This record gives sequence, structure tokens and C-alpha cells, in this order.
Amino acid sequence: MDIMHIGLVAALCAMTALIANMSAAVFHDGIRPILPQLFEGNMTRRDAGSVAFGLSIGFVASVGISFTLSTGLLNPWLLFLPTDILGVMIGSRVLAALAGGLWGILVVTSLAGVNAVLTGLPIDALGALGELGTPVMSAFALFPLLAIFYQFGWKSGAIASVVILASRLMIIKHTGIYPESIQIFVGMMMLVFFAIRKDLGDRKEGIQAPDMSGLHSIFDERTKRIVKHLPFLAVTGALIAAVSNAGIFAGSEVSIYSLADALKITDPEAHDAAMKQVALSEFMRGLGFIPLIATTALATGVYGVVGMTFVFVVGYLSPNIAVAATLGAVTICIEVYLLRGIGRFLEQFPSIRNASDNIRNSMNTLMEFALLIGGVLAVMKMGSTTGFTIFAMLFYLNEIMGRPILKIAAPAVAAILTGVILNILHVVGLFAI
Amino acid sequence: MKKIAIAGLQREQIKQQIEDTMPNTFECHILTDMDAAMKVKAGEMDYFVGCCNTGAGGALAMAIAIIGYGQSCTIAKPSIQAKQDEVQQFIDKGCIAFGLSIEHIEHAVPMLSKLLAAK
Repeated sequence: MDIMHIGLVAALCAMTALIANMSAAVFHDGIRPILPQLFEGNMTRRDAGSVAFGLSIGFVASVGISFTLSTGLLNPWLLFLPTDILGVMIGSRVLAALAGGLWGILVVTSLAGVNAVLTGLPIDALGALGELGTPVMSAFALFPLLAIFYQFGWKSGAIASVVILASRLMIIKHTGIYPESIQIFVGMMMLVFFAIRKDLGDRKEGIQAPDMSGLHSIFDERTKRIVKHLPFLAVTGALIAAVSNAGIFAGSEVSIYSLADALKITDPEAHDAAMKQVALSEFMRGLGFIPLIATTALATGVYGVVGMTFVFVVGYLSPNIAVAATLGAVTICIEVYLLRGIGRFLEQFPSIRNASDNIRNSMNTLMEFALLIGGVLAVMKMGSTTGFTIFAMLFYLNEIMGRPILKIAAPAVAAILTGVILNILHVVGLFAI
Repeated sequence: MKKIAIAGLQREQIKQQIEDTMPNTFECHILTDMDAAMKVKAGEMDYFVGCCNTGAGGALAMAIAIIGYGQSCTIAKPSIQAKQDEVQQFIDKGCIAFGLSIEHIEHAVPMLSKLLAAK
């Protein structure tokens, strides 16, 4: 990690802490609805800060740390949840920004140290952790199918399964491109087709979209608040696109493992194709999250630090950091400009909002599934069935204890701990390589 | 029969859990969060149950904006399971919108349904 990277991350974290302090934007969607209580004066910074801490700590400790340890890439949970807490809790703007910047520096510098320690272990845990991401891409590509299952039942799902499998086989047989991109495209087309068919059916039966006009004045007022903060949001967007472009940061659970793999590829053409695939997955995830982020923004007047997550896509695809930063700022401006329109659109088409819930559901379910299998692959590589035994013990320990580690992070945490335990067992002579 | 509006993630599973725990007690409706919050606000439905990854963001944003912060609460969040006394306190305080995170559905929803039924 060179000095420029440290500077970029420090500037980014200072910015995110500052905009959290201004109640302009936070990363944690759960903190956004609370902030109006803060800026309208019904809640103290101390109370809001402790709520923010309670909501975030599980994500930082499990998702944030484990994803970064297993890939070497920074992630938003690790960087931005703590800056949310710092920004919300600290009263002074300057101090909040300083604390955020310090957090960024601390993370980057300690990551290098922890990586050095993990690499030096007798049993290579770090290399094996790369296996975590193996099933991610193929599993993620099935999210439209799972959404069809959820929303339209098993018959539509079965038809969609056959079509998606056929398109996969055809792509592999006749072209050299990633079959996953086409699978996602075909799946989304079918999801939209089934949704429109259902909507038209509803309209024929005279079922109308519910009337939301009572909310328009509050939506307009909240939108004005976000537009007022736009310069700050745009600068943050520019910095996020820049770190995504620098190859030190991944935007989400969907992209982090495949991005780590893509960055390792040395052949420029293969690297390019892999980056496009990563960007496409992130883009699709972004589409699924638009309704959530837009409606939360309209209801609270607080934007998301990463916006609608398209700044990541821009960062992955840009040729250099300067272009990435410029496009990142533009992306956030466009998103905010479109916000009110997206809100109106979603009111008129409730089925799209429904589909978005099912899509997020499917993505989450598939990521949990893929990372569990990835975790098994990783520990099998580290210590074959002994590794698996320890992994399964840790995994079910977490289940029985009421999931103190989030389900999506449990496999990564269990795999890291398995690596540590195997090394200890090896050192004391109980486990041979 | 009290009506529950269910919004957010894993709505079918939440509905199933409510109906399995307390058969023939509640009328459950699967809705979008805007619609659900509007119906509860208007008094057409009695309770709002929302689920998302955090138990507070996607799950409750609309409920807080429309029904009100004072009547909304998060009963289970990442890493922290729902606690019976706490949920009871929320209900006694007059909360009618409940948010929970996705991994605690099996634990929190039966608890919430029992407490709401006993009310």
C-alpha cells in the first residue's frame, strides 16, 4: 500500500465522517431513518451515536473484517460504518473529519501488518481463503431465477430454469464470454416479463396502485435537503470511485471476491474481461438496490454514502484514477437529480418495488449459500477433512449462540479461525501438513 | 381479527411463521413498505412488520417516515437477537411498527406474534 493509497483512503474516510456529521449521508441504511430525529432536534448526538454503534458493530466485526482479511481489499462496511458512528457521535465538524481520516489510516496500515503475519504462517491460510469466492459468481448469476421462484411460484421458476440452463450451455459451446453475464440478462428479462404480465392482469381486474399523494410534500422537502448537500456527496462519490479504481477497495459482497481474483490476472485481455464481469455483477446488484436507496432517501432526506452504488461500477471500469473520480462525482449528481422521478415511478409500479424486494432477497440468499460452499472449499484446501471438521464446529457454534456473527459473514470468519487453529495445531505438533 | 402488514425481505417466511405460531389469530398481508405503512397509518391495518439486512433501514424507513418514530422499533438486529422483555416494553409503549434483521426471523417473529396475540 503506497503513500498515495493511504492518502486517498484517509481523505475518503474524512469525507464520509464529515457528511455523516452533517447528517447529509451515512452508509448504514438503518441509521438513515434515525438521523431526521437528530437534525430536527428530538435526539441527542450521544443517543444517536449509541444507536448507530449498536446497529453497525455486528457488520464491522463480521462482514467488514472477514471480507477484507480474506481478500486484502478494503470494503465499505469496514471503512464507512465506523465513520458513520464517529460522524454521528462527534459534535464538531472538524473533529469528526479528523477522526474519520485517522480511522482510514489505521485500517490501511494495520491491514498490511496483519497480511504480513498471515502470509508467514506454516499452513497457507491466506492463499486458501481465496477459494471463498469460487462459487460466488455462478451463484450470483442465479438471482433473477430465485426471484422468479419467490415472486411467481415453482411453475414459472421451472420454465425459467430450463431457459437459463439452455442459454448457459449455448454460450459456453459457441462463444468465449462469461456465461454468467448472459444468464443474468436472460433471467432479468424473464423476471420483467412475468412482472408485466402480472401487472397487466391486475389492471384488467381493476386493482390500482395505492395512492401515495399524501406523502408528496414530505418527499419534496427531503429531496431539497439532499440537493443542498450535493457538493459534499459528489466529492465523496469521486473519492469512492477513485479507490475502487486503484484496486484497493471493493464495493460489495457480490464483487469483492471476484475483484480480488480479477486483480490477480496478469494477461491484460483476460483481466479486462474479468473486470467487466465484476462491474456487471455490481451494476446488477445496484439495480436491485435502487428502490430501497431511493425511497429511503425520499423518506429521510439522508442520502447513502455510496449512493446507489454505481460509483463502484464507474471506478472498476475507468481507465485511471482521475477519470474515475470525475465520473464518480457525475454519477452521484445524476442519481440525486433522478431521485424524485424514481420515487414517482415506484409509486406507479408497485410490482417493480415488489420485484426489488425479491431480488435483494435472492441475492442475499445466494451469497450466503455461495460463501458457505466457498468456506468449505477454503478449509478443505487448508486442512482437508480436519479443516472441514473445525469449520463445521465453528459454524454451528455460531448458529446455536443465536448468530452473533452475521450469517453472510459466518463462513469467512469460520474459515479464518480454522486457518489460525490449524496453524496452532501444526505448531504444537498435533496436525501434520 | 388483527391485521398485520408485512414488508421487506422474506415476507412469505414471516407470514408463514406468524401463521404457524398463532394459527387463525392474525390476517397477514404481504405488501410493499410504502403501502404497508400507509395502511397502518390510516388504521386499515393494525401492525407493520418489516424485515431487511439491518432491521432498521429498509425495514423501517417508510414506517418511521409515515407512522412515526415513536411508534416504530427494531426488535432484532445483526448479531443481537430479540429479547422478550424488550419487545414487550416496545408493545406497551405503543409501538405498532416492528423491524427485524433477516437472520433472526425464526427467533423473533414467533416471539413477536405471541406477544401481539396476548395483547
